[in-house]
Amino acid sequence: MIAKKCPKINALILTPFFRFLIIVQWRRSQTMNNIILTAEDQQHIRKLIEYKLTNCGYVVVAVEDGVQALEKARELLPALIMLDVMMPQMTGFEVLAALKADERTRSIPVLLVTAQSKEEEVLKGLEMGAEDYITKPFSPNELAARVRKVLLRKGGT
Amino acid sequence: MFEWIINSYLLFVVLYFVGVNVSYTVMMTLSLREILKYMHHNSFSDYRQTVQSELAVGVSVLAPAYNEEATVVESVRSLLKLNYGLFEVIVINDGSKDRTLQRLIDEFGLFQSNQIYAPEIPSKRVRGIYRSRVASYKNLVIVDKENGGKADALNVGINVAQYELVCVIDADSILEEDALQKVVKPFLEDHRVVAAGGIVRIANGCEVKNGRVVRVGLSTHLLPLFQVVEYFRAFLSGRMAWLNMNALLIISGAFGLFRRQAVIDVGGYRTDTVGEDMEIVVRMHRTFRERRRPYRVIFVPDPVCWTEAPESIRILQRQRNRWHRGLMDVMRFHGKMLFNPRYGAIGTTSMPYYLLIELLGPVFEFIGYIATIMLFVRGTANLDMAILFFVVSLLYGVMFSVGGVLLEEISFRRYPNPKHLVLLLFIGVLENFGYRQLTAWWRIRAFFDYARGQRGWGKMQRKGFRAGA
Amino acid sequence: MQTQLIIILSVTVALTFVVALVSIGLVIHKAVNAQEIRRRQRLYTHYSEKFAEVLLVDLPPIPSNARTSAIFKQYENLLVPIKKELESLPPVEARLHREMLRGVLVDFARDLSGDAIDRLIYCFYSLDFVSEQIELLKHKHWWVRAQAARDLGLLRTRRALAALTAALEDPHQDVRDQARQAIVSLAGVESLRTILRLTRRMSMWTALELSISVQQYGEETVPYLVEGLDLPDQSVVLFCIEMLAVIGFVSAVDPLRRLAKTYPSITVRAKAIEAMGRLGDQRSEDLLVSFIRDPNPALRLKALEALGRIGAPAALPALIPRLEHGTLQEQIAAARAIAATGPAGMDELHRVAAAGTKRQRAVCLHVIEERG
Repeated sequence: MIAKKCPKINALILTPFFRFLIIVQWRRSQTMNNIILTAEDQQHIRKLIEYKLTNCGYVVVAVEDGVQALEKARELLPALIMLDVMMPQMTGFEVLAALKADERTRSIPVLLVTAQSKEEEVLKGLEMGAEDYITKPFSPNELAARVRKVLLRKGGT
Repeated sequence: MFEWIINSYLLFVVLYFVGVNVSYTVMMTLSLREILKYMHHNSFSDYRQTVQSELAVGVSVLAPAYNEEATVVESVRSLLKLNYGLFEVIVINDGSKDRTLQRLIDEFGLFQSNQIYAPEIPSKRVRGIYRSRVASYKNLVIVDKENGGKADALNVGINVAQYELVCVIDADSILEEDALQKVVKPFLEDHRVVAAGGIVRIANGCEVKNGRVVRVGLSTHLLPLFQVVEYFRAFLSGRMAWLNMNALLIISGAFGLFRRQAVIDVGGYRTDTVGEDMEIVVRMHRTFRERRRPYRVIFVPDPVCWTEAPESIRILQRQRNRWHRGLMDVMRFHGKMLFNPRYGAIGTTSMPYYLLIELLGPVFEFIGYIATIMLFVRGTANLDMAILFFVVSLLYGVMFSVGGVLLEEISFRRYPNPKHLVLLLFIGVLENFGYRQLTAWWRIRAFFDYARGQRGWGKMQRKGFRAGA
Repeated sequence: MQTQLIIILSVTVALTFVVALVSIGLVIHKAVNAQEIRRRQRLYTHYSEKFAEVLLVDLPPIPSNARTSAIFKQYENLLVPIKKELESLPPVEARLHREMLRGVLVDFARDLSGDAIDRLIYCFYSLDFVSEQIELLKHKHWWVRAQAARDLGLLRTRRALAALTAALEDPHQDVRDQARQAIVSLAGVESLRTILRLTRRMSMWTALELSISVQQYGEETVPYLVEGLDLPDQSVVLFCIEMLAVIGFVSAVDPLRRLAKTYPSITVRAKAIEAMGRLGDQRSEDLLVSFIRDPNPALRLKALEALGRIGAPAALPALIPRLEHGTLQEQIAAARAIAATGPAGMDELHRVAAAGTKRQRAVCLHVIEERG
């Protein structure tokens, strides 16, 4: 409500600095971790995912390649990581392997976003420890539903 | 009389010079058209989906290795990461004297397989075929064979390959991840395509991480920089023009793709030459033209293979010397095709071009210098003319060097920074003062080495094929 | 002499001038271009953000009996600020903006499905891209035509169907390819009949691109593909066989049997045999067994490979003798087919691996190792 009435506050919330503050806040109170890290090299999709998931009430941190994703994952310990499979520098699979090899990030569920509807690739991802996958072209609503489901499943166990 | 001979020789040099420059100009124009066509043609292909399809053809990547224990594991890892649906990596250990094979066995959990080796091209003895127990390396094959040189190693690789296309690379080539997709495309579009080459770029000065070029840059040494400009000229303006005439004679040994059956049909690589990469392409032209079989040899300017260029004069000299001797071999083996209209544009245009301009160019140039000096010594030279001629020839050189950079700049723009462009242009000018003359001298020396080497072929052959790289 | 000097001198000056000009031009071009790229990048970001919102923002629910125009009105309201922004720009700017806008829309269309795509299509119409793109299908440069065809297909603009069908007979291969793709994605599976009829000498690349759309429709395409088997163009027949095998629908077995037996071209017969192997239907076994004794080696090999895929225990007696004859490839294929029949086949391989000739032993060991 406040945000709607005062555009200045709205702008403040959107500044990276403020967003950073929020993230720090959440890291302190680990009980309510709803940060989602998404790595996607295509800008339009990154913006879309960011918008959709922010709307659903998550804090979204979007990065554009695998190296950054790994860095941020270790720094923020998000509740969920979304990885595009086809990325420059490090593919989603490589990031996934690195995440699963690290003690601290091993338990974070990973959702793979893949352009290949090829069974083999999907199986490879799931075998490597991905929680779920979504193939392009995808419906944003379905994406949100899957994210919710994965987070619920994690909360349940 | 003496004067007359020298003067008429100089007249010949002037005419030759005009001819060379006309052909360069024509080639640059043709290249420009061809590159633009290529870029338009591929601007809307969606490689992402198509290469993953079940209908895509498989590719066997052949990487010969000789005494590479320091780098072999990393090279193989980088190859296994190629972004392509159906492919295998075949490493051929050409009787290395170091621990190349053992390093591979340890690293990838290899075991000696019972796989049958049924050669379709004769080769040296194969000691064993190794495969990995690890599931994610199931597309890795290591062949251990007795030493026989690069050509023999490639022949073994072609025998072992199970897919329709074979990709030939040097052990130290770094392929970009989507290079295969791009170079396979012409094979799918046209079933007549039997061979395709990709562009080779100089990796010196680039940042390489995990066997991938992550940031493109330029070397701080002069020698690799000269080679960058030289490669632009050779690949972008040279090969694209030949493609336009379907008369492409060279596919770089550092990165080429062939239809496996076509290689077998022409009998594989020749093991008695140092120019095996050019020789096989010329032999394909010759064989298929003689059999009246429709075929195409293609050059794809976009898929990138990065290679480390020699940074020392000594090694560069050896490389150029070897290339030139390779060219002489090709001319000797296939001299019959020269000026022979039966072989179409190959016989009438590209073979003569390689003979007169590439092979003999340095010789004419060198004799020209001597003749001028002699006229000076006798005091009958026309000083103004000589200087002007010299200046004009330098300027032409500069123009074509700059032209190569220009082609790169309007097409693929791999060098992101304007500073790089300024540097490359400067190098394009500088190259004509010293470097070019130096390479010409090396190439002349290759003639003497060739004459001597003729008697001791076997000895030269065993020097190891990686000597120059 | 004098004139010669002047000529050479002027050539020199001209050349220096050209080189200098080109170099300076290049550097300037690069600098300007870098700026231009940054600007385009900014615009792209701007419009991706805008459209992420347009596509995803929650709209107030409207009653299910409302007209579609009510929904469109909602969408239109979302577009108002963007349209205003475009109108306020000078024409040259506006053209660049529209170009980037189209890029964003097309990129979204490629990666999205579900409701978001309906909004996207509406935007494409409402921003007047559709008629613009249809117009571009007649452009004099083929790459512009091809691009227009692709964009129309990605955004599933049904109004463009007639223009795209006309583009199927474009003189340039790329335009035809893109038009074909576009039609399949916007007119659905029925369009396959027209497309197959109008296609001549299909390259593997075209086949690959088309196969992706065909696979999306799955079994619905089977009747059209079966019909395609009787078309005169051999490449189209091969494509239909391949796709029937990929989709894997058993009703395709009978037409494939017919092709394998009677088609004049060996390539097509071999392909049909291969397809039967991939379909893995029992009804083709007897025919495949008869083919392993065919005089043509290509067909023999394909039949053996097909049996290797199916794993037909009944074929075992016919397969065992094949270990002794034919090329090495055939022997290996036969050994694989034997292994695929089950434990009895594996026993047989082990027996030959111990007792056969040197070559048979090698073949059997090779295949046993493959089976793990």
